[in-house]
Amino acid sequence: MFAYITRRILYAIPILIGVNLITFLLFFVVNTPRDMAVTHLGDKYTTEEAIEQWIKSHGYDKPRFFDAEASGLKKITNTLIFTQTKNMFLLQFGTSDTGRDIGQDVKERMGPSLAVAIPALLFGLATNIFVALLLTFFRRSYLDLYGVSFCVALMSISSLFYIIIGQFLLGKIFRWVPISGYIGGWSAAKFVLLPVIVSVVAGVGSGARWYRTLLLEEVNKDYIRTARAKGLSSMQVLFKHALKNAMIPILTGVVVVIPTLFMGSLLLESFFSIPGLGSYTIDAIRSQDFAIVRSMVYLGAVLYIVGLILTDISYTLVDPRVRLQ
Amino acid sequence: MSDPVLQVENLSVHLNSQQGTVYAVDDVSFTINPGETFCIVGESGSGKSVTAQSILQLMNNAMFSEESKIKLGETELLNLPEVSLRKIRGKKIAVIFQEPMTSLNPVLTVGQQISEVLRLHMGLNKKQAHARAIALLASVGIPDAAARVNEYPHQLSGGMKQRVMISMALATEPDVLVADEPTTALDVTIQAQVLQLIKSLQETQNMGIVLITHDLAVVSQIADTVAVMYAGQIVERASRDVFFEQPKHPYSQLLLACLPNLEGRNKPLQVIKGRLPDPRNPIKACRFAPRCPYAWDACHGKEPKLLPDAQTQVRCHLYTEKDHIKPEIKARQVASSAVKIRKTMRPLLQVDNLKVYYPIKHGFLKRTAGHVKAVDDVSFKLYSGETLAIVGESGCGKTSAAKALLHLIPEMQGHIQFNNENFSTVHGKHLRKLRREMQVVFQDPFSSLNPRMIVRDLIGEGWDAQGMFRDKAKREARLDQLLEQVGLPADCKDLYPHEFSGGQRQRISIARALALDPKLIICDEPTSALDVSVQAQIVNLLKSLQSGLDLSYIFISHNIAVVSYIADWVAVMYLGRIVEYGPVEEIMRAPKHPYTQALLAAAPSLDTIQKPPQALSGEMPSPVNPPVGCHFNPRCPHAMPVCREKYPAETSLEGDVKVRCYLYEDER
Amino acid sequence: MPFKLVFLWTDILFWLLMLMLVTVTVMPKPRHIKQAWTYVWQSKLAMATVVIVMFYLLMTMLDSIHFQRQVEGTYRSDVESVLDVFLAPLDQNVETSYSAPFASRSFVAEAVELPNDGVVYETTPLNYVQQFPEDEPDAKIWDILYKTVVGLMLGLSLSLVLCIAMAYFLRIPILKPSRPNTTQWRTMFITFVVIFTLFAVMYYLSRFYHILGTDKVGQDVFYQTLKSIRTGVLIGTLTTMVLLPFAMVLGTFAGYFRGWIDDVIQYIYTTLSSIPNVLLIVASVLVLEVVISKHPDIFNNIALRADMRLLALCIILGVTSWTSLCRLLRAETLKLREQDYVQASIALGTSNVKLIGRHIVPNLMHIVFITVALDFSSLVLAEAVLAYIGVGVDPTTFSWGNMINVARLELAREPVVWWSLTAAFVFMFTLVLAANLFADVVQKAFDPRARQLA
Repeated sequence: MFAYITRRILYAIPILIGVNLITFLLFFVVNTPRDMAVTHLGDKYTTEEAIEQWIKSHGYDKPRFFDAEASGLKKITNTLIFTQTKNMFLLQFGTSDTGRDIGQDVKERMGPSLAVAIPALLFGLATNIFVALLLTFFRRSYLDLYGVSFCVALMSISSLFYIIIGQFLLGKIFRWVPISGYIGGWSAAKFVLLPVIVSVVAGVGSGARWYRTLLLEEVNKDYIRTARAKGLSSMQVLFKHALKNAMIPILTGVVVVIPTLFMGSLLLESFFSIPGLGSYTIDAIRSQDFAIVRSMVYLGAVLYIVGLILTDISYTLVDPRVRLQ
Repeated sequence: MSDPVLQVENLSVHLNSQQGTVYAVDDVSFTINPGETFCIVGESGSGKSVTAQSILQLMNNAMFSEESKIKLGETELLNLPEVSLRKIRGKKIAVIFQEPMTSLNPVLTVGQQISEVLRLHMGLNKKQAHARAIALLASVGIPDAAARVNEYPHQLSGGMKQRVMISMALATEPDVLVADEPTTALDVTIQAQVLQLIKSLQETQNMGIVLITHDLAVVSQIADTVAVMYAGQIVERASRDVFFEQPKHPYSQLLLACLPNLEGRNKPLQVIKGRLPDPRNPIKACRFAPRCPYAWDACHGKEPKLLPDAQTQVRCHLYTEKDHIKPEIKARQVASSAVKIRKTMRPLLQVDNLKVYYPIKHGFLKRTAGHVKAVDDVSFKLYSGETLAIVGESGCGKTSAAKALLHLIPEMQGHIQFNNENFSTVHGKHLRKLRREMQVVFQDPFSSLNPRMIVRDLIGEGWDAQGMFRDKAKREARLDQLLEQVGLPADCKDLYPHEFSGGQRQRISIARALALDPKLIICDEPTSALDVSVQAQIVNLLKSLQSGLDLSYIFISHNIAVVSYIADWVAVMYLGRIVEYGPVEEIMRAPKHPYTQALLAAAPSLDTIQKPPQALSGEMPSPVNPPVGCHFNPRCPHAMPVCREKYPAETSLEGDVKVRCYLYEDER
Repeated sequence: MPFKLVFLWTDILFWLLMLMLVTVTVMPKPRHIKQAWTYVWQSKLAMATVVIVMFYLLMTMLDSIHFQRQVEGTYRSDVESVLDVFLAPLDQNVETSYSAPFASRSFVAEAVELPNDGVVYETTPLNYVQQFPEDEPDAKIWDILYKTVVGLMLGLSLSLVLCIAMAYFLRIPILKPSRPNTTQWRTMFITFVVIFTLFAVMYYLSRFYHILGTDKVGQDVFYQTLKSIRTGVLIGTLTTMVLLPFAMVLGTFAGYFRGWIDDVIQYIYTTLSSIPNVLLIVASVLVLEVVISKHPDIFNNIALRADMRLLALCIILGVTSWTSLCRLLRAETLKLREQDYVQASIALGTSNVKLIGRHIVPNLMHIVFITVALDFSSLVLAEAVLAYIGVGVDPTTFSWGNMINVARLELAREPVVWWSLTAAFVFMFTLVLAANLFADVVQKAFDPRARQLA
């Protein structure tokens, strides 16, 4: 077990190097530091010195891949790619293009992101499982047929509409909750409510349909026949036997996204003006702040890999058949 | 005699499926007394499993006819509401299914699954149920039950799982046990153990057993009463002794004659022509008539009734139309395949020290920590025109050995001299060229043919690979010739595999192998997925091809009867090694190695009616951790101290037999 | 010649795709594929949805033939499509600002200078809509009704004639209800008549009114929505065209050859998929924008630039989303490789390339079909989200995403400007729902396991 996890973590290193290489290619090769400077300082009224100054202040003035002038190891270490990669690995995100400390921002904004993402995940999971169980219990009936069709219809609606309609109906027409905004502490609940409802409703179509497939797959297996032959009721068979098996893919599927919850949701946060990492990213995209985008890409990759490792571990916890080798 | 515990009357079942209504069971009646074992025997599609499952109404799509009645004591089961039915399921009537691997819930412990029944039907609390579960596991012969009760199904072997299923079924001491092919998925030595267990538990609990099986040999050992099913109907019912002494229905007679054995090896096997009628449009006549050698007008005209004829009930016009004179069936032809004479002294295939070691990667750097020795130091010779059978239970390495010979396993080591070439070191283009000479036929007729290809392309695949028969007309001519050789109609060239029956697919596989004119065909259990009547056809085909084309076979099998019929030489494998090797007559008549003896004794055969199967204790250990010394020593009744120290060397005995056992050390 | 054809990159690729589609349809198919499609055509749902999808495809085709008009010896710089000609003069009928569907006056009050130097705010009559006398309030309703009926009659008669002609030439019995387990022609014809008539009514009315209103700059919303179809359909189809070769080649190679090839391919897709998908797209698009802005000389024409951006978006979406299909195909190939018929084929001496082509790829096609069908709808939806984030298609390109993005801000207005949003929603929802339902049937047809679970 320990050896397995260590190996997985070591295996993550080449992947993160790969991620860095891709982002480096995108941000420093296709798009040079000079381009960035021009973007930020404006095209027309900049002087050559101002550009030089901007590049230097962001530490982008080193050679990109290879420093021919330096000696020994420095040939490699005194390069942009090396320092950038090193900083990322140490989670030192540096300053944004507008001069803010990214690390500090990330720390501050994680809280609000989680305040939305965690309840959204939990309520969504509960709703999806509930609907899927209902559909499975009434399988081959009209409830199942129409239920599944309704799920497909829900899936076919753009998530933007859920947000817009949610805001419009609950916030504007009924005035139950504030349309957007955020304050910390427990009073966050009333700001969080709407985004959570929207995200649950937006996810239930595809989620419930997927879980129903998983449940039905279990229901058709031999051990269900054994359970019925024992004299268990359909309810007991469904909950005790089928659900327990279907929970394995459901739970492990959830585990992989748990770490990425820190990143927040781009759409929800920006629509509801929640000061989390999602809206931070969107703002950075809109203002073309590449330093932030680059940091978020890296952070997302790290969290995704953590999620993958957690998934493997969670398999051994919920599935007695799996042993880590 | 006590009252029957279960009565089935006029049971007719329709199954609704997407392909239409299947008339699976038609007018089946039988009664079972306490302590009686009632065997329903039939080939696949005969409706025997549907009959079994109807008793507890476990199918979702089944429709019962108005006249159908299933009575448990005085209770009529078919119109019981689901709620009352649940009180009977698992309590009064218990079921064991065929696949122990999939019939247990993988995420619940064995104890939880047994306790569930006890708490539901016996009113025990959690603690009592757990204690009872341990006692039950011990009673079905699971060693160390107190620890095993907390294990999950995947931690148990197939035989153990079936024991758990049995303990679960018998936990409530039911009146009736329905066993649907309970031993089909198990190895012969384990099958013998499980049958013995069922028999002994029946004696203590005095329950009635409905046993569904396709294996007549199993029937001959365990049944009190036998019912033969064909196309949804019972065609014959009799007590066991009467049935095996004098089967009445032509189908029963043919079924028994299909079974291969050592004595009949110089004659072709009896076969049943044709195939089962389509269960979607049942014929209003004798359903066996189209395949029956005795059939005459009456058989095609009206449906026979199940009539009692002294001790036997039989559904056949032969016994009602007294004035009809039964035609003689032509005596079986005696094949001309007399004693084979070796033409050359140089073997076609010589295998020395063949090894297949799968590495076990372990720890942090994935270093190879050990090996699974699937095939360990196997050597043998095969002369052209002869058949070598490799016999053993699942996990003994016989399939790995076959695939290693074919260069399908990269982990293969050792020396293979084939057709005057060093076959073990060739690779690339040269290997592809040489593959022509050595072909293969696999077990599963469904997965061995690409479902997306038509017969023409399937058989011609080897020609494309080897660049043969580029000329279209020549190719077509050769194709026709091959189809005729394997007994397929010439107009089937544009059909897909799913349009054929299992036996016909196996013929296509054989034609594909023959297309390259190989010298050797490796047959990996080619008949074990087939019904006995079809098995007979394929075995006959293989034999006639061999004598006609001077082919050699390596015949991998677990079926002793088939091996004794088809093989010239036998190699018995246990845990990766050949423990005994010799001419088939020697091995079958006087097995030397204790394992061979046990294997032959455990295999049920019709010659040993009444004699309970000889069970070998224990199970085959894992090849990851084979026992020190002789691998067989933990199960061997003759084990000596020396057996636990070192693996025995090969001893040559009289009659070309070679054996690896310390019992014969002195005779070296 | 009064015009010259303009070939945009996306046009060429789209027509190529259509050509491939036709070839595949006409080509003789192996029986199992034919059987699967027979299953599809026996479903009423599939027959109805395929007509809807075809309608969208037809719009895309019309909108994918571009040309420049010649005016006084020189070619005009703006590029028009056949769809523009068909809808003309909707693209020219630009009002000053918002107007509600069927309105004859503007939605927003504008400052009107009175003769006596005062200024009052009041709604103004629309320029391109017929005005009715104020003392006859019902006149407009009667006019709309009358025109609806005319459109209905036209559409109905034309579509029926088309149906009957087609049924006659193909010898399809449409009068009798189709029996189950036969091709459901009747459902198809009924859907066709309904869709065609509906469109005819809308088209006829759009000659006289802004049937879906106008947007902030006064452009007709009906025109915008129809023009947006092309963007949605292109993103849904061209992206799959980009990702298929990647996923298929790499997936089968990794699964078949295993060893180091598998390691490398797995490394590539794990790395790519570990970057959050949206961010990878964002990063690529941002970089692309910089590249475009650095080379203004190459992308001088607005239409050309917007088109390049659309194509680039498809490529980026394709490159970032091949990983999941690749993973699926690799897993399936690993399974197939162990099948007895593959082992038997190796024993026959078949070479690797032949073996992959003959045994592996044909047995993967059902996964590919299903993925293509399912991906289409999610890609159409993704376009809207990307537009919101600001990395979608060019802001000058008509797309549902852009429409929603502009319109969502107007929901805060009092009274609400709802029509742009609703129009985009309805057209997008119809396409995605039809595609999803069709994909469902396709999945059941090609994956027997899915059929069992239904």
